[in-house]
Amino acid sequence: MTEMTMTQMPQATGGGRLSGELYKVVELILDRGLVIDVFVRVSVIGLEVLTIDARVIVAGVDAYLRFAEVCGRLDLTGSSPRIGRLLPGGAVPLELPGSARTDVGVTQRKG
Amino acid sequence: MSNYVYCVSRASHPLPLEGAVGVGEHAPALRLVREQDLVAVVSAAPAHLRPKRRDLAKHDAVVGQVYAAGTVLPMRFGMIAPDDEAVRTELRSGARRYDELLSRIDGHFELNVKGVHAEEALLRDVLLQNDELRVRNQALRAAGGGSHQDKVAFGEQVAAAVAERSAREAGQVIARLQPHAAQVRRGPPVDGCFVNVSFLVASGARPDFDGALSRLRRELPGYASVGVYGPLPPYSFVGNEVEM
Repeated sequence: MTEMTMTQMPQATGGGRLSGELYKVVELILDRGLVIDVFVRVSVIGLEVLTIDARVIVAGVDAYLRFAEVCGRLDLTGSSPRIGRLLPGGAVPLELPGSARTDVGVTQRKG
Repeated sequence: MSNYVYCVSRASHPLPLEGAVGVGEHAPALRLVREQDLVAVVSAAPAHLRPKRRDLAKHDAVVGQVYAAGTVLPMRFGMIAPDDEAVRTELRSGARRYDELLSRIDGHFELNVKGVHAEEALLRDVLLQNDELRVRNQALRAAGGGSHQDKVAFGEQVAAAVAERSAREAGQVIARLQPHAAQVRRGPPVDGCFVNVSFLVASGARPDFDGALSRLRRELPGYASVGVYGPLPPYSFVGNEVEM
């Protein structure tokens, strides 16, 4: 689908001095900013598609299947910090190390 | 010849354009179109223009260069005026509105905040906090994944839990940062972000904003992280709409 190229658009070709950050705020340049109704706007196929996609991705059958698949891979046992999250009120276990905030993001593969 | 329009500013603006070129393959020179107290930065419009990275970067570079020297109203990418006279007519008829907008954003910049979730850590937390989902997940695992229908139904429940957290954490981001901004505007939804929101921040308020951001980062769950982009020209605060 050609419209999808928009989401992949920022590639390592050319680009200005802000190219790294430009990618992070590209939707603002395409979808915000001053619009003058009597002027013409060039066709910018892509952004609208990109925004619609964002909604589809969190709500479609494909997203549900992906969530189920990722959940199926998670090993919820054998890790005390995570079991600690089961405590009422979201209490944190005492053995949680200082770096636990990032540790929570560590992937555990089963087997 | 039609004009590609980059931004509108006050005629008193120094408008440094050295070194910058316009959008399009032929890198046209930048020009100023003046009318009374206002000025527009334009270049000859290319025959074919699509939102390629190169042209977006040029648009942003021109706006950024002018913005670095004073207040500007950045145009949305891709605005074309049929000729100089059309630009002058617009500056004349919209003079009051543009003056108001320029006054409102004087001394301010835009900070864009995007929040993302580390997905596996988020889902782990969702399961650990929700007995029903955790039991269903275990049952599906025991059944070798379950049927297509079971997976869709389970995934939909997980998605609802994720959406609830996304909404909650987006609310947290806005609530903590809003007190340090003159205006707030949600950005368009962006794939992979649970929140995309821009703040119009006064130059002097940046330390307070950053302080609130540090507290916010400590307060959010470990699977959520927020990035801040800017200072940017106030793209989100020059539209016709006033939101939030």
